[in-house]
Amino acid sequence: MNCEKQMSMLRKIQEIQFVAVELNLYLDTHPCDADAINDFNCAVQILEKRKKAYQDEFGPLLNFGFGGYSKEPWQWVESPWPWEI
Amino acid sequence: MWIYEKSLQHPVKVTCPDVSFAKLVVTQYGGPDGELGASLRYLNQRYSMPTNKAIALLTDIGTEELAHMEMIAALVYKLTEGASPKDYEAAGWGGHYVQHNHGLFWTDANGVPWSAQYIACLGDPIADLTEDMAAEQKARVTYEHLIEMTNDPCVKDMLRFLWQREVVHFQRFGECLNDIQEHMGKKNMWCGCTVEK
Amino acid sequence: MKRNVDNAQVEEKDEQLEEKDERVEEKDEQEEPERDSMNMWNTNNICNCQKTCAKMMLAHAYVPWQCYDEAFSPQEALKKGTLFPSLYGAYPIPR
Repeated sequence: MNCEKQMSMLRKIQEIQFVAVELNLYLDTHPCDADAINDFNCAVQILEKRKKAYQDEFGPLLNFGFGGYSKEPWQWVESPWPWEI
Repeated sequence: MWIYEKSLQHPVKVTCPDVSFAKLVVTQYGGPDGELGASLRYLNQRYSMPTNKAIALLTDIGTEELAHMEMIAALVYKLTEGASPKDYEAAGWGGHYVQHNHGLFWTDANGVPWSAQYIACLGDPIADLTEDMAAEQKARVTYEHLIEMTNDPCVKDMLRFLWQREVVHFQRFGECLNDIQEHMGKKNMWCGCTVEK
Repeated sequence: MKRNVDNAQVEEKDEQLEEKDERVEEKDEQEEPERDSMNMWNTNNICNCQKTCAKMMLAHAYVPWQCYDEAFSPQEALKKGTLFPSLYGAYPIPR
């Protein structure tokens, strides 16, 4: 497994996911900020793309419901846990 | 329901294991101002909030705190990785080894187990949001103390991330409080009557 | 577009995205957080969201409303723990 590539792809996911978290919390208290909603949607779109690319190569980040399908054998238990990386 | 995602919110790295620091930082796992208490406090207070905005914020920050608890758990795991019973003893954490081996447990830096007494829920939005703001401040200061107690730059980076999150959450709870006070004022739920000047 | 997040066009390839992100990051390195504890209501930066605090009451706590007028790059945001330059440095950063 290409560990360096995995780490780098994971980092890119964490980065854009964090942008989404920050804008999510901001929008909870500023629900009418159209610019923030636009940026939030933009971040979510990038996040989806990056997650798909990661999951295709390194197995599921989420067990179901977000586009990932398992190959055989059951992939969820195969990929490393967050504290093991 | 909650969906688990197999990644940390922010990477957790340590330069080398350090059982002594694990013993201290575990307070952010199960201490009075730790991440377990934070997540449970916010998720539990949601039900008595009068506005959807407040419920959403408590849900989202409570959820983020669960991710922070996982980061602290990963940190304690890495700080104690490969440590022997003697290492635990030398770090003054022999008692933890005896009772939990390499397992984690929710205690503060003095070994006091987590307690629901760390959490308040009065069912009053102003009291509860003010409690949340105080909780963020106490967690911020605890992170400052912890950052002083380690020399590991990787650990400092990660703790500084969590420290900054407390500042952001304080801001959001404050905005939420502004909003709630305005909302309740309009409804005259608490101020009785307003005196026009 | 004034937000760094907007720089990341979804349609772009990741490589291009990274280039843009890095350029933004360079700019961010020069930005030192400003502290102005006395200026609670930051009059330089008034926007609509601050109007709601106009009627402040005694014995109530208020926090100045934050405006979203600039953002760190995604890389910087994850490093710093916030997307918002205005919240970075609001308290002295522990070292």
